[in-house]
Amino acid sequence: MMRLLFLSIILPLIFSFQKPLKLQYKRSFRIDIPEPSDVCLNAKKDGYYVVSDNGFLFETDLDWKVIRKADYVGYDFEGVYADSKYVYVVEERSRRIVYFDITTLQLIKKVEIPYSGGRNKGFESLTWNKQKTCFVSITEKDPTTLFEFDESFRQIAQYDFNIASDISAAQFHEGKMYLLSDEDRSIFRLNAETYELEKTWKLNILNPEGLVFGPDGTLYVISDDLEKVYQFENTLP
Amino acid sequence: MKTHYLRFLQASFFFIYIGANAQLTISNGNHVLELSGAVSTFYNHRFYTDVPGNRINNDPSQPIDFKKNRFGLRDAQLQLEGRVGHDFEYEVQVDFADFANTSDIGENPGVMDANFTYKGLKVLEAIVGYQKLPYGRNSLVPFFYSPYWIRPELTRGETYSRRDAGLTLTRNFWRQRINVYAGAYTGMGEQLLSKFGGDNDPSGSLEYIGRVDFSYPARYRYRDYDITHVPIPMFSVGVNARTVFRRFSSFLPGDDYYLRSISGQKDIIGADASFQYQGFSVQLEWHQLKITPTNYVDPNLNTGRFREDRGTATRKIGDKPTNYFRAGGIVAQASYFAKPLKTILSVRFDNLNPNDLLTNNTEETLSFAAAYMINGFNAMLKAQYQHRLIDRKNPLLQRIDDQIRVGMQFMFR
Repeated sequence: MMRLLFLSIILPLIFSFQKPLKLQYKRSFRIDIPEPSDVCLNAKKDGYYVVSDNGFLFETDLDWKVIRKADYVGYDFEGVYADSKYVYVVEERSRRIVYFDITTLQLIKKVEIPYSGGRNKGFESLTWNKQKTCFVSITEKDPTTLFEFDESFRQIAQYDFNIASDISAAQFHEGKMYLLSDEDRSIFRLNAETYELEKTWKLNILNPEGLVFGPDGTLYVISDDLEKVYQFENTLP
Repeated sequence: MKTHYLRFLQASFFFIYIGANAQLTISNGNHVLELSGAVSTFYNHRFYTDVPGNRINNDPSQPIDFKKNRFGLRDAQLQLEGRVGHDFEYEVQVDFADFANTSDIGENPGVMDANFTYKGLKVLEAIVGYQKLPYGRNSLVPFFYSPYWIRPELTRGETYSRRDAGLTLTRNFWRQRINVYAGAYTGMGEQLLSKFGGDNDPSGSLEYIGRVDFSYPARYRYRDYDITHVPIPMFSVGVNARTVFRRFSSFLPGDDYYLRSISGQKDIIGADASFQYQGFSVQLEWHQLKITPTNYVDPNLNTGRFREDRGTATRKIGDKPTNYFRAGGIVAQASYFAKPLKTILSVRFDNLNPNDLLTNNTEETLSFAAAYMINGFNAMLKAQYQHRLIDRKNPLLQRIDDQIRVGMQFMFR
């Protein structure tokens, strides 16, 4: 009995020391953006939009140098997506989508997307699901829920999620949905139609809050706490 | 008074009921309000040492008084947090379990936070109201993010107050790696809200507190356990100090050690450090108090209250003619979060010398804690065992019995 008790406590502890397979990054570099919380590629694929916890929207070139900054200062920007007309930004605490003009970065309008969960556990990500032609935004935690919205941000559907402790970013790339978890430090690939989990990769990055695929498919992950970008060797296998 | 509390309770739980079925967060775009709360309860078993002080009415002929072996409601908290526009944040937090405590010691008066933060100054933030004081890392870590049921003797609020009304100015540098706090407070601490609270003593002076902490390679929150298994080593070090003078105190000076509210000059310095990596975490904390009592007794009170006068010009101890004494101690804690087990394991050593003019009066405790996360910190089973590393027959010591406390916490948020 004592041996069984001993093994049931000690063995999981030993296994917990074993390092899981991790995705290794090629290089990392600092960016001049405070507390970056999400990133997306622009429609022309010649630069990125990066949002900050402090409520700032930045535009960078492909070398991650800041080119522009929006005049409007929000509350708590946590997700960003851009098409050929607008940059859409998720303001987590006030439950709003903020539209910016793509050419001027001027504020165009705000749209409420009500959510009754925790103040700092709201919408943490935003992307466009080309497979289902809808916006996708996922709440951070307690609970993690995937919401689908139409082009006017009217809710279409919602899906409960139990694959991670939290979700900090989402990207649609080559027919798949990719999610990032800060607390689990993992990237998940989902079927973009069914949202079933297909594959998981572990990261060795502190506080990963955003991921993006560059024009050539190179994967970049940004760390909020360290204010750094991590570039990976190849696109995800 | 009880009727008021009852109505407040009814109203509050009605609010919780509404919240449970509708909104945890309410927003009109400019004003965001979040409703949350927490409940924790435990069973406490004390392993009583057979000394006269542990017998009923301190009478050696009586059986041992097992009154501490019981269930307890530690927390029944309700919290309102919000933000109005860009410039204001606010927080009101109450604990109904503490409202039932009508003692004049006032360690836990029921109101935990009632303050707002003004961010409009841009260069720094101002926190105004009743708030947690920026002194001592252990005190700044919220209870619900710990596997322990009881804080160390040194930091649990017996030697210095953990909350008070006043003004804190704070600013961070280098992307929140350096945080600076400075503030002025009543000096009455939690007892401001006790039945003897309100007016200041005749000195009319305030308590001043300052703290600086530095973290690397990134900001480091006031959390002691590495739940995310950070992939790079992280550390934080902090130093803080506080000073207060009271001509005479209208309050009891504390529950056990008579250090919390002093008639006289009380200066404290402290330092702390925290490290975490891959699930392991270590904290070290040190505080030293220098107390110079005035020995004045409030003429308006005739309660026969104890006044700290040990080691003063009028009451010397041994061969040490001095008008002050020192107190203090350390806390050392090491923990590991086993992710597959969803369990925090922790061991802690703490000591407290309440008066350096006495010998053999240092309290020392070794504590073990384990917490199983059913749903993260939101729902957690917790167990703590406290083992006293002292001579249990020593009459100078306050804490002589080992005890185990097992229970559960639940946060709704």
